[in-house]
Amino acid sequence: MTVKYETTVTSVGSMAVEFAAEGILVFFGTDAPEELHDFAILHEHTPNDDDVVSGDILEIGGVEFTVTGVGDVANDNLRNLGHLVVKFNGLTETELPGEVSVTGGTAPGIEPGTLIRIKG
Amino acid sequence: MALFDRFKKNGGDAAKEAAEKVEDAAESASEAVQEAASEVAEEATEAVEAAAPVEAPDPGTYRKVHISPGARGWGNGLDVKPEAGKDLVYSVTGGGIHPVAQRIADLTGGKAFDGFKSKADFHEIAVAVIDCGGTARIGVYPMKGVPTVDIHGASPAGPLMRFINEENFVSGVGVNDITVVDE
Repeated sequence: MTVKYETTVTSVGSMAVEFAAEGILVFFGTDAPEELHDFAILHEHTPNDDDVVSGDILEIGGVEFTVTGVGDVANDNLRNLGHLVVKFNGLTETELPGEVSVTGGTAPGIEPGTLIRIKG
Repeated sequence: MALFDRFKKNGGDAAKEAAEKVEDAAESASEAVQEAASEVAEEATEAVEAAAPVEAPDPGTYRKVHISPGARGWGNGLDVKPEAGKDLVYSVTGGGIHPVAQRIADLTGGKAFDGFKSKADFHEIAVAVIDCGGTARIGVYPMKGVPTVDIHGASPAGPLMRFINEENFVSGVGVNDITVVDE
């Protein structure tokens, strides 16, 4: 497996914590407009070459989750904006086109400094 | 001629490519080539669905537009008219200012603004343009009272769904879904 994407969390917004409690992690690159910071987990985005696909491994702070579904616009969002929406629902068809579904059931703890990797 | 016939048959991308070749061909100025060229160029225009040109309003004045949902979009549509001090067409999209945001700005006299490049206050924003797949941005701007146009055909969803309604949100919008409203 090669690392397709690697980034480090720089901040976690107050509302992002509430989203996480509902099993949703919303990432944005640090360029995101300020009004999104409350809702987002910000990270140092570097545009990736390879698309995220089902079967990839998403690693959050050393805990691994398997990607089960990738929405139609999820890869554009990630590449252009560092924007990634992860749901831990294990669906093969994501509920919304911007999402990536992974296994796990609940979202892991996340804080500034947490390392995020996508491997495939 | 054979070249143009081939392009005409292929349509789509080939038509766009053909339109570029047409520019070169027109310079060489054979009448027959020019005739074929104009036909191909017409197809090329259709292929990219170019928005009809409309003159900008006089500087310092604003015009109202109606923004309709696209074929696969959600909502009844929104009327938007910028005003002095609240005239930003705020593009929160990947890859810079989205053509839909630019179109709204051109027609209304508002200012196209890249939310990823610069900062603005909510009270300065006439309308936000997003390319949201349905989770976060879709709710943030409606929640803040900003009329919101989604390029993607998303329906209200996500943790902020309760803030999204037909008065503040329309989706699936393309450049041809924006029309000037006569006042």
